[in-house]
Amino acid sequence: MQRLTNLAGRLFKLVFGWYLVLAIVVTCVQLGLEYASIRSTISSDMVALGRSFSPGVSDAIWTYDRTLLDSLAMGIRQTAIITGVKIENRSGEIIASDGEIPSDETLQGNNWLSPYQKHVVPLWTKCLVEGHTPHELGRMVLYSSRNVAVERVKYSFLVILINSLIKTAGLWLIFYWVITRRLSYPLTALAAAVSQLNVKECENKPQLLEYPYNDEVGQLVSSLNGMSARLAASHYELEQKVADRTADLQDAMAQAEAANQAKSCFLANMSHEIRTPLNGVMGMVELLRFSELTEEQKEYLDAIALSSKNLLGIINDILDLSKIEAGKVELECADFSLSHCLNEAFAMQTTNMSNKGLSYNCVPELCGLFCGDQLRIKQILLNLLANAVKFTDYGTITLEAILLGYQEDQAVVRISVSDTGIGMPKAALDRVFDPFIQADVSTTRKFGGTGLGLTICRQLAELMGGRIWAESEEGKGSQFHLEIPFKISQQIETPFQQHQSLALESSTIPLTILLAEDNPINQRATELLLKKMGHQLICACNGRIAVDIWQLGGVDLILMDIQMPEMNGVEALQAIRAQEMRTGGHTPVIALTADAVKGTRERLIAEGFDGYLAKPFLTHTLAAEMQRVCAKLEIS
Amino acid sequence: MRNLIRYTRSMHSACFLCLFSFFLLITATVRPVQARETLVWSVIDFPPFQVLDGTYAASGSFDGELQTLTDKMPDFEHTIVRMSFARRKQEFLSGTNICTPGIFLAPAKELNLAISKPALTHLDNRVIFLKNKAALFGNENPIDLEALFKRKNLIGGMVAGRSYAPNIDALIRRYKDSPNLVIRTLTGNQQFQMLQSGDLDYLIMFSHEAAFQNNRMGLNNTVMNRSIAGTPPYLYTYVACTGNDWGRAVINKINAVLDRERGKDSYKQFSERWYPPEDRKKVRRYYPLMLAD
Repeated sequence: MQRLTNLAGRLFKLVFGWYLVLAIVVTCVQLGLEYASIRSTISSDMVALGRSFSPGVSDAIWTYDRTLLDSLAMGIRQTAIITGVKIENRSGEIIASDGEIPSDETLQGNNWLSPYQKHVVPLWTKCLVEGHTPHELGRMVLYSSRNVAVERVKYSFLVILINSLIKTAGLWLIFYWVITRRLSYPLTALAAAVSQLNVKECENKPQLLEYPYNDEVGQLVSSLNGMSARLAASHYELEQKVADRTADLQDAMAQAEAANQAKSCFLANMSHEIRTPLNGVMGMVELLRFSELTEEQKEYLDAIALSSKNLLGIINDILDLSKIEAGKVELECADFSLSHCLNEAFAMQTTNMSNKGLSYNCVPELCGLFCGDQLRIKQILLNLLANAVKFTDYGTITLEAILLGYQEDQAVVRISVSDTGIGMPKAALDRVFDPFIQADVSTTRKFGGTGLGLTICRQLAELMGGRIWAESEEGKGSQFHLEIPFKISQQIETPFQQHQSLALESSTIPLTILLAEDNPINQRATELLLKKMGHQLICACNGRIAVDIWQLGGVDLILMDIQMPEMNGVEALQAIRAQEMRTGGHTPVIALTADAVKGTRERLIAEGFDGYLAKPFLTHTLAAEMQRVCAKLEIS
Repeated sequence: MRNLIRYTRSMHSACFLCLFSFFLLITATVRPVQARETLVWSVIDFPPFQVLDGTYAASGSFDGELQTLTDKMPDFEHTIVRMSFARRKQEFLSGTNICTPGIFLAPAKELNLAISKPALTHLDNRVIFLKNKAALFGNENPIDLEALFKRKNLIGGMVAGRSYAPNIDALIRRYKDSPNLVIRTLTGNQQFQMLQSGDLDYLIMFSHEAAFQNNRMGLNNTVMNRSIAGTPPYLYTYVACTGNDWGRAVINKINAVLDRERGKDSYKQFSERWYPPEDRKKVRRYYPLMLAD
């Protein structure tokens, strides 16, 4: 903090040097003038002295009174300004002298710096009677040494010095006192008052600063009072505006929240309303595959299945994109095996690759656990792999992962998906990550899709602190690179984590499953799927019936729809869990819902569900979730 | 400063007076049983009557006379004190017991002094002028002093307060304001130098006084003198003491000495000292008249 200094002291320091120089110059000039004045005065005094003594000296010469001449010379010499006197007769003979008589050489020049001042008084006889001509008797020469003037200047200098010192000291004391009293104190008080100025308190009663004089400080105080009043008024006005804006913003925020809520509800409802029939469509298509079909019918069925799948992908993409853009995507940070994640994602596309006659290669040269959101990584990889499969008619699809570098607990991993597909031109490469953009219009016509997949991939990658980019050569294939930073987990990868999915896939234990579903088509489709999977199924059309059936016992697993009449899935679960609290035991319950909005899964898991399936679901998805829940219960 | 000088001088005079008075008091009152009485002689540098300084010291007529008196009055302890005319006059007026070896009759009477028998014979005061100015004075002899005073082109020099002779003193008093008369308290030496320098045309002084100054200045008899009409041709000087009993007692003793000595040649020659040869004859001629007086 800068040290506070006294204004009077600073002014003193600022002015004192100049004042000192000026004082010295003025004093020197004054002393010079004083010296010249003293020399002039001495000269005048010598003239007057000569005029006074000349009659007596003349008379003494005239009367040859040597004694008187000596006395007169001595008397003249007693005068303070005279350092020497000589009296000469008319023949130039010195007849009386006293004091220091300088030589003629010393008397050269008669300027104001010469060592002696000289005054010659000619001495004449008196004219006693008419006809008598006065004649020269001689001359009297008076000398005054420069030391006389110097001594007087010394005295004057002392007087001037003492005078100046006293006056200067007095002046500075007065100056200091006045500046301190009339400037420093008011300014300090002013600064304190300004620093303590509370504009809010001034709104109603302005704090006026007081200063009794109408000088510059007074004008400053007046200006500050004016400024304070204006500031208070401005503050009041600002407060009013802020209050108004806050109210407006609160209204706007409420409206936005309402709109967002409405949008969320709309999306949820849309998702639910579209997924529910789509679930029925896809379920029935799956069931149809188990019936005897002609080749033409199979072809139609594949078209329906593909259309349903595409429609589901479009719905999912739109939901994802809207969630990402709304900033509602919350990434998980959980330990996972990246190599397993890659293998799993790759495995999900191997069937499609095989169907297209493509060769594939998965080289995830990574081990250990990383901390991140493996579902989102898997989503990105599935998208990239799906695109690779989609745009590759022959050749190889390769998934590679390498560790670019790590530092302490941070690692950067690059995952690359390469294909030998159609590739794309440079111009298309630049826009491929833009929403609703594909390589060209023909691509859309030929391969379908919404053009949202890569946009979602890029946004997810950026959300994870990474990046995604593509390299491609038209006709030779494309490479999509995903670079993601992960935290390195301190835990060691367990065999279970390595082979969990494999265990789930291999688990096909026949179960007695209670299905609570109000939609008869979905109920029927799910029933047939589960029976095809070898499970025994009991159906209930609402939650109450489901609870009643469960109370009868013998149910291994419950698939509970959330939105049901009379008693919804959550209420039914609560009833079941409440009873289990009393009787003991635990029946796994998997929530079925067409609400695929982010957070639904977490909310339902928090309610007590053991698993979650978003409608529409495919056979293998259902199987996988059932296996996961069952395996989890077995382990616990 | 001038006041200071005056004050210093007056202080010196006062101190001197006090010391002198104290000395006289002591010598007069406190006397050892066998000690002689102190006789204080006031002497004045009045060449050539009394010459106190210089080459010609003690060559004056008063010097010879005083020497004789001191020699012949052994019962006194003689003390010689140098004074000015004014100091001597003041001491007499204040009644201090002193004596002086020579004084003219007029001032002695004025001061009411106890005076002795005539001690020395002198010639009259003359008009002294340079020989080269003799033409200014014509051939008149004796000179009519009043006529001389009236001649405005001639500047005469006289000593203020000096008693020359009754007729001269009267004329001086009458013409004292005349611009051609320089009546100042000057010594004979000063006057003579002024005469020599031409500042004065004539002086009134004794002829042996002029002869002494002429001699002292080493001049070759540059002056000449003429008698003043109406002035007695000779006059006497007297030994005088304070005009009290003490003075008169001392004068009696002095008269006794003078009675014994005045007739002696050795004493007579005191009166002739410093007179030009032609005037010495006159002195010798008038001296016996003094003895008979």
